[in-house]
Amino acid sequence: MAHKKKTPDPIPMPQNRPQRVERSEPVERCGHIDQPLLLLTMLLLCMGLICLFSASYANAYAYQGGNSTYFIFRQGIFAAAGVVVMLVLSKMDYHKLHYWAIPALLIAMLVMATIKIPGLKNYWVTINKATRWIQIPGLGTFQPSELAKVAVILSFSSLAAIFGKKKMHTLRWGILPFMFIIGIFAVEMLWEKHLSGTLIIAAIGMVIIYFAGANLFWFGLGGIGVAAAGIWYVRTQEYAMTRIKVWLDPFIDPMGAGYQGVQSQLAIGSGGLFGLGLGQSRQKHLYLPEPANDVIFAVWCEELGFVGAVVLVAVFALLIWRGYHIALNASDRFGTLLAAGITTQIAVQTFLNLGVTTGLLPVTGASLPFFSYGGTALLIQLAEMGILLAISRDMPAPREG
Amino acid sequence: MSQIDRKADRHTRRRIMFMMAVFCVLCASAVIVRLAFLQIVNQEFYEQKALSSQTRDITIYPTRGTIYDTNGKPLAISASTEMLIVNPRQITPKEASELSDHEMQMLGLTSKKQTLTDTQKEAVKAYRLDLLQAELPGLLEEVTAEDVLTKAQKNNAYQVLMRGIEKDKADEIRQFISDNSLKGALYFTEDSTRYYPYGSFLAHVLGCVGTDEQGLTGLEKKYDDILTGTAGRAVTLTDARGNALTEDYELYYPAEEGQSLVLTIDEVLQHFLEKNLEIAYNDNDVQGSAIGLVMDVNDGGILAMASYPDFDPNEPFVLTEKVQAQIDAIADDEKRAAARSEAVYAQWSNKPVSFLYYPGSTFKIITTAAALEEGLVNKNSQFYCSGSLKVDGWSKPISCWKRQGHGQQTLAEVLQNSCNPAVMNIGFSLGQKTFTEYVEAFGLRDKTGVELTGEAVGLYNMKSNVDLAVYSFGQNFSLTPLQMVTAVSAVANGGTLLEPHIVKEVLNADGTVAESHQRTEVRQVISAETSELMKDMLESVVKVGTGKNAYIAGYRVAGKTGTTEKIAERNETGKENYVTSFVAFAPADNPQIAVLILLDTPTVGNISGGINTAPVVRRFLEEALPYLDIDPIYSEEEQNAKNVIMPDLTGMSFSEAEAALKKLGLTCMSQGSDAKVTDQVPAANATVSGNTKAVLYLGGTKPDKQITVPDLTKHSLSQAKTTLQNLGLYIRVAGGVSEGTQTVTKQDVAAQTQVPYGTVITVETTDTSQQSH
Repeated sequence: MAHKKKTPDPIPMPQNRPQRVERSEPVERCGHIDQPLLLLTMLLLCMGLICLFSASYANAYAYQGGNSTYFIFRQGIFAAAGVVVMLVLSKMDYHKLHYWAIPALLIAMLVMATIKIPGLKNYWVTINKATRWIQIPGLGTFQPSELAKVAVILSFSSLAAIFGKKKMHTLRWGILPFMFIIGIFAVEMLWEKHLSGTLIIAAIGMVIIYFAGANLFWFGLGGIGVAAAGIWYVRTQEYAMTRIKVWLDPFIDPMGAGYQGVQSQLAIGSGGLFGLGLGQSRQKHLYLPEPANDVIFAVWCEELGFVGAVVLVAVFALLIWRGYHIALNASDRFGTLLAAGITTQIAVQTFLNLGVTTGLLPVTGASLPFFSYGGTALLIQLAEMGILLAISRDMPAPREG
Repeated sequence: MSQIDRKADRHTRRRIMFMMAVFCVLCASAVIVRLAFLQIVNQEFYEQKALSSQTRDITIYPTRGTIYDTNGKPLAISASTEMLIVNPRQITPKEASELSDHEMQMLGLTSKKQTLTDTQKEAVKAYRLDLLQAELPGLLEEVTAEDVLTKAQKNNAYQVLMRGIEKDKADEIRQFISDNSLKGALYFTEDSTRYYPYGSFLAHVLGCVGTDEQGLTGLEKKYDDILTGTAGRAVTLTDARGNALTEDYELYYPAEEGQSLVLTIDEVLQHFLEKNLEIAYNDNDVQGSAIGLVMDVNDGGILAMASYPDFDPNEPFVLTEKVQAQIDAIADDEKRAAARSEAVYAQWSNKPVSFLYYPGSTFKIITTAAALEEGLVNKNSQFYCSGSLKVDGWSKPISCWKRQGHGQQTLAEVLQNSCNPAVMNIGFSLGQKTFTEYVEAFGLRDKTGVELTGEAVGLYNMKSNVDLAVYSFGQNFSLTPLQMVTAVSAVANGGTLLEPHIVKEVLNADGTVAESHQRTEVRQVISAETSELMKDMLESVVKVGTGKNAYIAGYRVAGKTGTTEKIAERNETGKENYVTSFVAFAPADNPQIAVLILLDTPTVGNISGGINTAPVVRRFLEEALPYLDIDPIYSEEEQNAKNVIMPDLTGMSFSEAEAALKKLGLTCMSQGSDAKVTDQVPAANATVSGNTKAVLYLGGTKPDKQITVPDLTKHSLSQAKTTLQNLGLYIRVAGGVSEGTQTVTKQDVAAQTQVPYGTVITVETTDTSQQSH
């Protein structure tokens, strides 16, 4: 970026349908997928599966009729399928995803609306007082909110690319349509009592329009509004206050509201510098609530210690860095926003999870990508990595000197 | 370079890079700093907290050691039992899966996956409380409904409902638990219970334990540490439900099992002693206790030790009916409680080591032995008794029990007569200092050091010649039965005072001997010569003196009577109460055991050691000496009176039968004229006197008639013999005392009982002419 000359928007507005942009001058494309990202993805997937097995077998044994491999077996199938999906998608021309943007949005909204449709309502499953899963007979459960995330990323990056930078700076084009979409999802998510999901979707969506050039004024205004609402909420809702108190010191209620926090921190803390050894976690033996899900990182920390934990954080950071790197080098605006959106989703979920598990953030449900048990989520994450890889194929080839 | 490479514009690039920094630098750093805080800075805090919840620290209780008698018979054993625990927190169910079928029905639930409302939980809790209250008292008699209710509603997770539950009972309750899905709310843990298989047998020596098997009294208390062993510890990693994660322990210190005790107590001798004490207690209507003690004179080992009334160490807090009634009569609650606890301690008191009494005339043994040893008297010394002796410092003469006096006596006769003035003179010849030295040398002013709790030491305060005078015949200073027996053992064994002991060996859990108690000599008190002289003289006391009632044909018993008034009690209450005692050892020529029997306040007959106590010693020795493989040696005179067992003579010819009887020293006469003996009286295996004349029936059988047994007591022995002979019954005299002034005091078949013709009636006689103190 040596020159400061303002260039015209290189991506012309698609007329009726999105189309591959013909370039004025031929640029050498690398043509192959980004090896570092593939490596990092496979590395995380392996770490995730190993950790899941270690973390889950005690719970599986206790709650799945003595079947210790219950979780790892299912997760393994989805991982294998996911890798295939990732590799297939990586060969695809990601511009075709423009066509899927709006349909995906509508499908996600409709699927999530079934919670209120009398005949279809029964397919929803309630676990721990939250109705977040749909039972597909013969296949298992999946979380429609995962679908919503993908739909938001796809549609936001597609729309933002279509609107173009100038329109994105306006309230009418750059804020309102997106807020409308987020609003619909927010309502639907609240039907599920899925606050953390709502926050994640909102955050991903906001970050994408932020990348696309939305006016920061509205972000500032929105930020103030959210902060005020948050304070009012905590002040008036007793349970929210309790949550904050327990976040600040989980040991005030170690058997109640602070249970997850206490058990997670005990697991992490007792891991020490080098950990108790792979498979040696003690806290996973029914002390940690759902060690294979939201608190899986605690098991990792207990077994592999500070050293292992730093390695995990570093690998995630590298993946995120690589994802944004691909976004920065994508061949068009849609590619940039799509890659950045996918990366942001991984980043938000990762750090929300790490933050909650280590006690930096108040307890809320957030799974750790590639690690936490959940077939659909893993499949979707790997598919997203496939899209990132597809975008990476259009990156300029590394130049000599 | 062309800008077409990167299609993102400057703003977008900046914003993406900003987010990249936020996540990759800011968030990652924040997490890593937080991790460092948790895992490095505060690692120990979290590890400690985690370990304390992840581990189950179990105390491994060792099994309490067994107490055996000298022959290995177990007298106190611990058996593993179970403890029933109720966990009040688990009574309220958390999930439907915890409910029993009946409870599901009650709530109208169909699926175990349904969530329970608080109302439903409360309903189940109330139902379960009712169930426990109604059923548990039926399963465990010792548990009351109120008890169950109180404990099941406590606000904690651990309430002991009952301890010491045996396996069968526990299995019944386990069934009840599984039938009603009460797992978690009711469960068992290991327990251990102390059993005394023979009840009150040796109770005072063994003592008893509390609910945690801690020794409360007796050997159980004295040897509590040794019997208990050392608790071990096992730390196990557990999951959140408390199940062990592995079979390995994180930390394991095995329990050191309690060691066992082998006593010097001989179960058989102890049984003989206890039996005879109980008989004596009843015969003499004893107001206090009947106390007995048997010692191996050559070793110092206590062979038997008892007092009656006793208690059952299985139920150490249960008082005898008589005592309980007295306590129930106390109106004031506080006073009643105090009296109760006092009574409990009193019944646990091991009187042979704790009871203090004036030894009385039995002490003349010590005074005489001391004077002999000092060369102040010898067996030819002469003593004159006028019936009393004036002692300077005392207003009136101190009288002998025989007011008319014993006249001129040899030293042996002084003891036979138990003459007080003569012994006072012997005491004077010793002087206060030497007398006291001997009292000390015989170990009468110190605890003996026996391994028992509650050993007492009496008062001894020699200030004047008046003290010396009364001390010399055992008045006004007190000692314990054990001290007396220990001192007499020294006189009998050649003059060596031994430390009495009751624990022969301490055994490790594997049966190896950890400690073995050897004969411990304290000091040589008198010479062997003095000892020899004393043995002869004391044997004569039993043969011809005041101790005649301890005489046993064929055995050489040496002994001395003692009778003392409980003067302190008379001063207090005005009642004239006595302690009668008899100390003996046998065989007199080669002493093996020493026996002391003591009756605290007998109330029947002419109260004296010779009359109330000597027969008890005789009865005991009559059984104990044959058991100890000491063969009787009969004098010619005794030979006729000794007891023999009738052989079975049927099928023999008359001459064969006559010869067989002759060998036993018996005579016979015949009835009928057949060739073979067809029946006999007395019957085969009956014990008869050596001078019995048997009747052999040659053809036919003995008359089939029943005879009413007459009351023989207060008859002279010869009268009794004639009476029985005329009725067609035989007589046997216990102890085989020769005739003379013997009066029948007891008969083994009660008067007015119908017995077959030819039955042998055993009688006991007492030389009632003796009224010595």
